[in-house]
Amino acid sequence: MAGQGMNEVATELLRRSRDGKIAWKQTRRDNEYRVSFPDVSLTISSQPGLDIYRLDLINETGSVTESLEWNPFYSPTPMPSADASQLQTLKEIYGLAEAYVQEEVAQRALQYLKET
Amino acid sequence: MLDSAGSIASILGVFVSVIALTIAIYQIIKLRGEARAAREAAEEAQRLIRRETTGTDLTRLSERIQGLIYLLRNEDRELALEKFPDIRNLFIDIRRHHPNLNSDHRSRIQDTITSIMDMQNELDASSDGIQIEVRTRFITDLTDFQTNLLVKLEDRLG
Repeated sequence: MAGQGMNEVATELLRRSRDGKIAWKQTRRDNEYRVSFPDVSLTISSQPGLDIYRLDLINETGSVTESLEWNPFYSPTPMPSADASQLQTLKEIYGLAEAYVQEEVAQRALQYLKET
Repeated sequence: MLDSAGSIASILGVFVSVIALTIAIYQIIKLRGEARAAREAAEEAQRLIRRETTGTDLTRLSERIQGLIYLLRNEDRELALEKFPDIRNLFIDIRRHHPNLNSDHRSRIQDTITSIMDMQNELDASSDGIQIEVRTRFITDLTDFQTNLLVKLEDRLG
């Protein structure tokens, strides 16, 4: 199981994402979004078609220090670091990150169109 | 007669005290001015040294990124892999040496460090050479760090 700190990070991240306070950016990978602070980054990712979600906490040197993951296919146990309630948290964070990035792209397109 | 002499002595004493106090105040003001001037000179010297160091760090970083782009173009995977930690460390050093950087700049550096780590891990995992689309993506991102972030840092710190 992930540490209590990571659970709190996920809960707070969800709260701030709901408020639209997290400026998510898509990484070079599909289905992965990131937000960076002065010396910490958070990455939320999913695997398309599979109910797999993962939240990584990244330190100041770029290394993943802790993760919260829901992976029903993970062997030997189906839940390596998250429980069912956390699945909903991760899923919602992912959805909000995706929506934030899509909205930002749409706003940019709209801006360009207005300037044309 | 004695009373008059005493009064004159008292007045003179007060007069001498006032002069002494004036001199003391003048000296204090002068010393404070000198101390401030010395402090300002030291701060200016530190600023110049920091600016020089920053310029060197940013130039070195730009050169390393250029070197990495060259290695990627030549598909030299092994040598390229060795260069990633070096570039990451230079970004880490810049952030560490400049605590006055604002939150936005520090976050951008953090984002870049994380992206460079991603690239390193991706390249490390692809043991069968560097695919052309991966190479192109890496080169685009690295060029972006050079032309965007480094220029912004130079403007901020220079």
